[in-house]
Amino acid sequence: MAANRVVPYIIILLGLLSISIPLVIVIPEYVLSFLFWFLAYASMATAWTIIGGFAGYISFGHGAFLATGAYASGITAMYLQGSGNLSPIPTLFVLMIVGALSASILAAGVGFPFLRLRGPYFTVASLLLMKVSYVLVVNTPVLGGGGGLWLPVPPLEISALRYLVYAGAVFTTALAIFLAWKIQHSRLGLGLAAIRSNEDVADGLGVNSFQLKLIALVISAALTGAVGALIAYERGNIYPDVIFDLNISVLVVLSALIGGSTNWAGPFIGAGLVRMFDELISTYIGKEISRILFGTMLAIMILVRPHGLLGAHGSTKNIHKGDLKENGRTL
Amino acid sequence: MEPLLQAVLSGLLVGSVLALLSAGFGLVWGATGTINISHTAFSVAAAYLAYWLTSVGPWGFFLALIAAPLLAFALGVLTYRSIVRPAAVKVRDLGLVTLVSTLGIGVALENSLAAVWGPGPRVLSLAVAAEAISVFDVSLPVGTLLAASFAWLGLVALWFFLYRTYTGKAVRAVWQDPVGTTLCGIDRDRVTDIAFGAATATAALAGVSMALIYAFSPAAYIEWLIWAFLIVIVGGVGSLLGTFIAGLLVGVVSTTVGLWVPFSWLPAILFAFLIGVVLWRPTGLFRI
Repeated sequence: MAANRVVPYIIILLGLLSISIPLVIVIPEYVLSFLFWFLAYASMATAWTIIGGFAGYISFGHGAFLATGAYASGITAMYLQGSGNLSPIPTLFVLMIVGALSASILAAGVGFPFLRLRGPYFTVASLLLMKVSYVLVVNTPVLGGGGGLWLPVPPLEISALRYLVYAGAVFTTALAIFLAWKIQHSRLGLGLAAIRSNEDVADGLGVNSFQLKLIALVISAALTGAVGALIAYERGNIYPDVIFDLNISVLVVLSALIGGSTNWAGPFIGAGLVRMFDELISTYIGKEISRILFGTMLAIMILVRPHGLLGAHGSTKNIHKGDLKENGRTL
Repeated sequence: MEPLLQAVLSGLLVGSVLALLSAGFGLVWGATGTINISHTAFSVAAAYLAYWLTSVGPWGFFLALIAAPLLAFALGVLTYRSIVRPAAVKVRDLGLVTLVSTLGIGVALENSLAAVWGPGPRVLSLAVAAEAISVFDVSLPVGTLLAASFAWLGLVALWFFLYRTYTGKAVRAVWQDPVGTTLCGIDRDRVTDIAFGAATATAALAGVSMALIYAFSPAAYIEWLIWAFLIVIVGGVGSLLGTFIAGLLVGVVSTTVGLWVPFSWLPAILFAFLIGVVLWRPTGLFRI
């Protein structure tokens, strides 16, 4: 038990330390780009797990929050460019805050109706949210429609830009992990765990489940929106087909499920594994093969270890065991 | 008046195909509590099978028409045995777990198709299907008419299976009361095996029919799935007649709305409508 408690801290500490190395010494651009995407996925997966893992509300619609963050920051970037020159570091900071705010506003808006849904209905509604926002974006000329939006080129050399967004990604990941850790060890986290175990009982015991879920969703969306702003800034463009790609959501959910969706440290570890294998298989065998494997893994993972490698531990584990015995429904 | 008549007629034809696409999805949802995302992925795979066989020879299409449902039956049983049954024994929220799990299968299937045929859209080119028949100043493509007739065939077969055969009655019994069915000595594993297989077989037939009407790409299954979801929820989970009527309704709405609203907005309108239905009455609008 003690080892189970300490190991996540060691891994996270070592991980964050080692990914800070590129900020001190110069490393090849390819490695830097790989690390950036790893961090983007790690922070998205950690953000996802706050609602998807802690509360058990599995969402495949986080692509909508990602895109909201990306588009809102893209529009802001164009506006900032028009109103005079700001230096890149505050610009990126402002863009990330805009991304986080816009995504959390969307989350608060859709959270009111959506969070009244449970289980598969919530998941389907989240999938639909992504599809609706995709169609809306593609049909909105201001957002570039299907052709995508091109951001103004930052007054930076390309390598300096890579380091800047990398620093942003390290910051976002650290923030996401800190928030997830904080939430898991707070009343909010306990409430969410109660909702995951049995929402009706939680309600009956005085947990204000709707409020907690809404807070969790808004925090989760805000972090995802910030990542969206980062990705838009790094790529310099936003294509609806790329930012709304369902495969992003699948990889994010898979990262959380593999690492452990009920533990603050799980998604980071899962994202590391998923990104590494994705990169290796995509490079040496083929992108499709990698996705076939990940699809199959998602299918198996949710059955075999629904709470991942680190899994639910402590008191919630026992609650789950009790659930299983009561509900031995067979077909 | 003519554009409206044209739209309504083609809406009814397209709607029949959509009804077949959704019927199996609703069947397994009702009978086993499974939300099978890979349902329409099997349809898309069947469409590709038809596409491939048609390109081999003119007889290929009819071979696909027979082979696709048979293959899909086997794959459906396999999916059921490898995923749904193990899940049903150990998890609490079967709908959610099978949804995630079968989404994984959908992604795997999608990318298998993309690995062979590439991610771009394909069109099934059948010489007969390109022609059109004119009735009362309304011209209907033969492809759509063929697709609709396959759909009716499939729906009638499904109806016959569910309401006129012993096994079908057993499926409906499992649907209504799983525990009671077991007490009556019905082998639930076998019955649900067959229900799952039959549902996937209709999905494959619907996929071949859809290929006659629309272009398809590996990623199309999510869009098709949303159609199926919309129709099943509007018609009520576990009602074949409801699914049929909802299918026709959605078909007609989708073709007539196009008269007034740009076609590219149609998915947004329908999906927003579906979100509304899910929020308002998740068990379905009608109980037939």
